Formats: sequence, C-alpha cells, structure tokens
Amino acid sequence: MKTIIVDDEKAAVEVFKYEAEEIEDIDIEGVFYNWNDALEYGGIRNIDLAFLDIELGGGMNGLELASRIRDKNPDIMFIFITGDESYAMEAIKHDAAGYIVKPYSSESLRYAVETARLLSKRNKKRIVARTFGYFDLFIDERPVMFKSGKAKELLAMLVDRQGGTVTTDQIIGTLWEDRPNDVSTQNLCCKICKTLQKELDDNGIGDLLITARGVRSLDISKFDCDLYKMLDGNKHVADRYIGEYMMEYSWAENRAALLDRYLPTK
Amino acid sequence: MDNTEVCGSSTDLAGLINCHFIFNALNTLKYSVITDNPGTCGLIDDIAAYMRYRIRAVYGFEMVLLSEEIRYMKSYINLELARFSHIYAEYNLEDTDFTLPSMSVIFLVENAIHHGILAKKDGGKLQVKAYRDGLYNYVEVCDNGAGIKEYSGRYPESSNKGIGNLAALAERIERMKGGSLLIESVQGEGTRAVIKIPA
Repeated sequence: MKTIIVDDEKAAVEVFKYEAEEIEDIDIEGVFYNWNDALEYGGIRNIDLAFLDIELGGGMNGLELASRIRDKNPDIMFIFITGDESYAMEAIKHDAAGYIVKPYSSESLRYAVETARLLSKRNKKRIVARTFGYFDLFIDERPVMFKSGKAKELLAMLVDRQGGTVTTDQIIGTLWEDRPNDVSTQNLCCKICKTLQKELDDNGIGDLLITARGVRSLDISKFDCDLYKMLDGNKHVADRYIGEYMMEYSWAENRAALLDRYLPTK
Repeated sequence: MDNTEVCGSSTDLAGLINCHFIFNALNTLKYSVITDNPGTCGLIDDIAAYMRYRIRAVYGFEMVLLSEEIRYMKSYINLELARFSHIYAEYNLEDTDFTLPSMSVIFLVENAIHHGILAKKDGGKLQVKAYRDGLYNYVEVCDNGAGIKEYSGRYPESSNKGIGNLAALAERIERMKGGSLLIESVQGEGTRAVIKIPA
C-alpha cells in the first residue's frame, strides 16, 4: 500500500520507518514534517494509507488534517499516532481506520494496518499484476482468466512498460515479430486491443487501460506490481526474485537481463 | 490549592505526572537506541530524574531551590530537544540560590515549548534566565513562538484575569513566596514569562 506519514518529530518518523520496514505491505511514498507540506503533496490522490500524528504542531492537529486530506482523496485510510490514549477516542469518532500509541512495536503497527485494511475493503478491489515467474493479473487475490492469450500478452507488455505508452507498430514488432507489418496485421492488432479492453471491462477494471491517439498505456496507480516494487527498492519483494520474469514471453528476456542485478550475489 | 493544579492539565494521575510526555519520551529513547546515539544513557538518566522530581511534586514536595528546579528542567528540556529537531534552548543563569514553588519554572518551559514554539511551523528558540536585581530575584522563560491569545499584552496589568494553569501558578507564587508572575505575549512573536520573588 502506498503510504505517507505526517509527524513533526524527526525521531518519531525514524522510529516509524524502522518498524514499518518489517511490514511488507507498507511502501512509504512520502514523509512530511508539517501539515502544510502534506496538503501540498501532489501525489495524495494515489495514496492508500496515511499515518498522522495527532499532536501535530504548527496550528493544525492530525484530526483536522485528516478531514482536509479526505477532501482530496475520499478513499484514503487513516491511522492516527499518539502518545496519549485519550486522544484516540476522538480519532475513532473521526471515522478513523485505527490508531497506535507511542511507543509501539511492529506487531501493533501490523495489527493497525490489518484493521485498517479490513475496514476499507468495503468497496475497493485490489488489483495485482504478478511478473515474477509467469505473468498473471489478480483481482482480490483471484487470477483473471483471459479468453484471449494475445490480449493477456498485450497486457503483460503494457505492464512491462510501467505506464509508458506503446504504439501499434511497437505492439506488432513485439507480439507478432514474425509477421509483416501490413494492413492485415494492423487489423489484427487493433482487434486484440479491443479484446483486451473488453476482457478488462468484463472484470470491472476497464479503467486500467488508457487509449488515446493510437497509443496505449496502463494507469499504474490502479494496481500493485512486484516488478515496480522491486525497482522502487522494496527489499522484501526483491528477495522473492529468482531471475524468472514473465517466462512465457520471449520479448521479456531483455528486461530479465536488466533485472539480474537484483539477484542475490553468490 | 495545591500542586495538582499546577502540575497537570487535569486532576487525574495521568495528568499529574504528565503521562503523555513520558510515553513520547520513551519513543524518543527508542529512536536513540535505533540510531546508536551515544547520548542514549544520558536520556535515560534524564527521564528517570524528571519522573522522580515530578512524582515528588505530586506528593506535596512544595518548595525547592531554583538550582534544583533548574537541574530537572534541563533534564526535561534535553528530552524535548532530542524529540524535536527545530527547538533551540539558551540558558543564562546568574543567581539560582533562592527558593520557589517546585515545578513552576518547568511548567512555564512546557508551556513555551508546546504552546509557543511548536505551534509555529518552523519551531523557535527558548531562553531561560535567572538573575537578581535589587530586592528581587527573577526567573524569565522566553520563547519566540506563536504567543498566547488570552495573554495578549501584559498580565496581570491588562484587563485579562488570567486563565487556567497559569492563573493557578501565579496564585501559588504569591501565596507561598509573596512574589508575582508577569506574562507578556504578542501573537505570532512570542511570550515572556517572569517570576519575581522578594530576595
């Protein structure tokens, strides 16, 4: 989960990072030492979870900050951090997902995150693209059964591009490298693109694919991906990489070669 | 009227010994351990000393030498400095050989840090001065923080009667030592609190 923390104490932020390191699910995207910087953060819409210090200085407490953030991101989950348990009652009233009391162990942090997730699961689908080993897309931990193998391969290619755009020519060069790039192949490509869109629509995640002026890309804020996490420096994810990347696709070998540096050195 | 009204923001035990501060200080200690800070042992001594002094005050240990109050005040400030990176403290202590109600200076320092300096986004500076001038001993606690709205101008000269804990402290200083508490505050610029005690 993409996570931010807002706390005016440097020491408290460092302790948080130390404990959060133990929890695979927390990817820290931003650290803010005052409410002002947190409110000005442009990426807030893509954040899943925010840890807020209740006794935030500078004229606004964590509870007030929460409602200001909620205005910008209605889906965000909050976990409040406090040194004084009596403030926590206020936090619960505040539709808070949870709270932790300083000092806390990574166990209590994990428990608060789990609670927050259970509470927020209500109407949110979790989409995960797995690239290590063989490629698959999961919705709420169930693999999507693609009817068209080529549509799935196109999706894999787009995942591999990490949100970058691909043109029809690039798709043909990758997915049909043996075929001439003629009208009939272009029609086929166009058909597969439509098939992918329909398959995603049928699974209720049609907004994943972005098509504009003949180029296509994925909205990578809408799903989690082991490749992206590893490239972001997530050590837990990198530990799971054993040199196998989208094994069913020959074009993926280029990326696999670049990923060798994430393998344990022996 | 006793210590309870000065020591804590509430009359329950948690307020009396400032549990909130202690748990935050423990969190700071944890940071100190994580980062292998060589000052960790000093911080443990500080929290032990501060807690002992605070608990003693709750049990009616009323009058202390300023030098003693200052010692525990420094323990308290050390812990806050370790916790917040945007606070600076400066001492100018000339004459500390007189008695005053225990916790009075620490209480003013707590106020200066939490309601003054930390209420400002970029933090600020705390100054503690002790000196003698003529027939009086003075202790000053100044900050360049947010100021206290209710004390805009001068207290007690201004029309404001004073509020809550500060009013209780002023009463205590007057009753126990025949002294007074003066507060000057400018919104957005800071607060100066002066304890004045006949020598």
